[in-house]
Amino acid sequence: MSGLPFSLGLTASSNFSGSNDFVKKLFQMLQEDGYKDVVRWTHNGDSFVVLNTNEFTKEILPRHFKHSNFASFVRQLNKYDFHKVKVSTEEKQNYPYGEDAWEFKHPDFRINDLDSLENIKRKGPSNKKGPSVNGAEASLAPLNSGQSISHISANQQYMKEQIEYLQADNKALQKEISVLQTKYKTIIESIVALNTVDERYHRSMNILINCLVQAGIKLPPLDFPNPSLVSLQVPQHNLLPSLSGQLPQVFTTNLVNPKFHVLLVEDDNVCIQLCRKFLVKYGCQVTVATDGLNAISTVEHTKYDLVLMDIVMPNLDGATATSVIRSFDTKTPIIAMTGNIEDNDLVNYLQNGMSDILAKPFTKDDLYSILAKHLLTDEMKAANNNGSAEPTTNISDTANSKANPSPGLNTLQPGQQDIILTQPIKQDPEVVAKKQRLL
Amino acid sequence: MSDEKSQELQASGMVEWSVFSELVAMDEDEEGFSKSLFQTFVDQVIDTFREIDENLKQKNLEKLLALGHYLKGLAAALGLTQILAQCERIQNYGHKNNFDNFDVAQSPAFTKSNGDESTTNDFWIALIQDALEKARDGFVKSKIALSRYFDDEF
Repeated sequence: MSGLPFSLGLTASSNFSGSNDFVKKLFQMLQEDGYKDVVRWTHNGDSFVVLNTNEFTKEILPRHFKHSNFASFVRQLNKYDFHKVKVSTEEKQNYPYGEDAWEFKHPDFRINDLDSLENIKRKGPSNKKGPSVNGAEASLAPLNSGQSISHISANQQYMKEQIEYLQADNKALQKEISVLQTKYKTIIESIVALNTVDERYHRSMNILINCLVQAGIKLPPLDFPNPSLVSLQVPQHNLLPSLSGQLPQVFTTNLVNPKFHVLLVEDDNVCIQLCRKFLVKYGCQVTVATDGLNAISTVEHTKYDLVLMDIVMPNLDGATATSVIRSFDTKTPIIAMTGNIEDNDLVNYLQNGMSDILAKPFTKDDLYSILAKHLLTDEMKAANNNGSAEPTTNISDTANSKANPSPGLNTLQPGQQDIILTQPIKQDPEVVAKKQRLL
Repeated sequence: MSDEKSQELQASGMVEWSVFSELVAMDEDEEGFSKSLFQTFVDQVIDTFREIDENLKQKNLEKLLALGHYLKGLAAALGLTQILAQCERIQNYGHKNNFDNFDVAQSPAFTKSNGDESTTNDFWIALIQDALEKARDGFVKSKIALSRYFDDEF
């Protein structure tokens, strides 16, 4: 027997002005059938019977109805037009509920018939309507809690079990995740290592081929996949340290004295063009990698002054790439370039070892203020090498960072990397507060 | 570039001038930089519109919001405000967020009516369809305005 629909009915009823809560309480108690030996529906289900008035008065009345004696309970029933079923002396001999039983009946009070309950009304004139209703409600509130105690404790037990189960589950999942993460990292590292080996083989092969060709030996057609898209006709190019990927690394050629060397990790053409242009104008030599894997192997080969890292990229996302890079390089500033600036994302990026976040889309000045913060001048580099301090993050005022757009005016202390958020500050001051809270 | 053309482009309302002028300023040490940038953009947008169309057919909201997000980033970087606004709509509708309380019934794109509109994906698909059409319109207008400015057909 499910108590749920009835208890729902009860809760609903207590929301309207509680006209016949008494009857509903009674109904629910009978439906729950928790006191079979004291009170229960009769066999037909069209009446109920109190089998043991003593027990009823002692146990049930105080718990459920706040009536102190059986008589007042009966009076209450009468007010709702319940009638005691009269049992004649002859019938009494076959009466199944015993001599002391009190059977009550109302035409609309039947087992499992919640709907008809609405028809049961408190009868009689209500001169004292206001106070009496209030009184009923006042006494009903504690009644509610009284009857629900058993429910609550049962529910509590159930919830306890559920919580324990979920906790165990959660623990197991977390364990599994950490195992997977370790495996994932190992795999990525092996892939990067493989890429490196592949490139070395490729270079060696190229040297060999070149030698053979120069020695006048005719080569059969070779299926010689090229990790850096440099064609066989110009094998000399492959003698340079090179990268694998769809787009080969791009060195800016028109810079005579590049101040900085920046790695731009980005897969979108428009962004590459734009960002590279800004960087070149700032005085940076720019290398472009187009996915996370390339970024890792590139950083392994070459020391960069700064890495600008897109997040959403093919093969390997920027956050993961950063966490791998951080396993062998803790110093190079890595800046996340991203349009996702939700709390979770920001935390995730910083946890993966990003030094700062440059929110997309950004203007030239936004980019430059980030560069100013993170690109150390030569003197600062020297100072930084002497000091053993690891990069620490702290929050800076944007006004400050904007006021010092050029590296020459940079007020950065050695070993200190400031967090600045650029574009969103202009657009959305909330983000500033959000980020400060996070850090 | 002549001032006249600059004024004409500004008057078109298609571009955010502060962003655009910064891009054009990059031409001073590399002639044709901004033009090539916009050419790349135009190619990219055409591809992306096609992808959005495909995903509209498949009613793939997740992919649609990603595409809207991507295109929004591009439009914002180049200061193309008209396209930007519509991409933002696509992204939001992809998240099932009718952030601008758009009444889809007014749109010619919404032909089919459902009993409980907001609970079905069709509702959001229709909203995205509307945004896409307006984005296309904005794209065509931006292209015309840019073509006039650069004196070249994109």
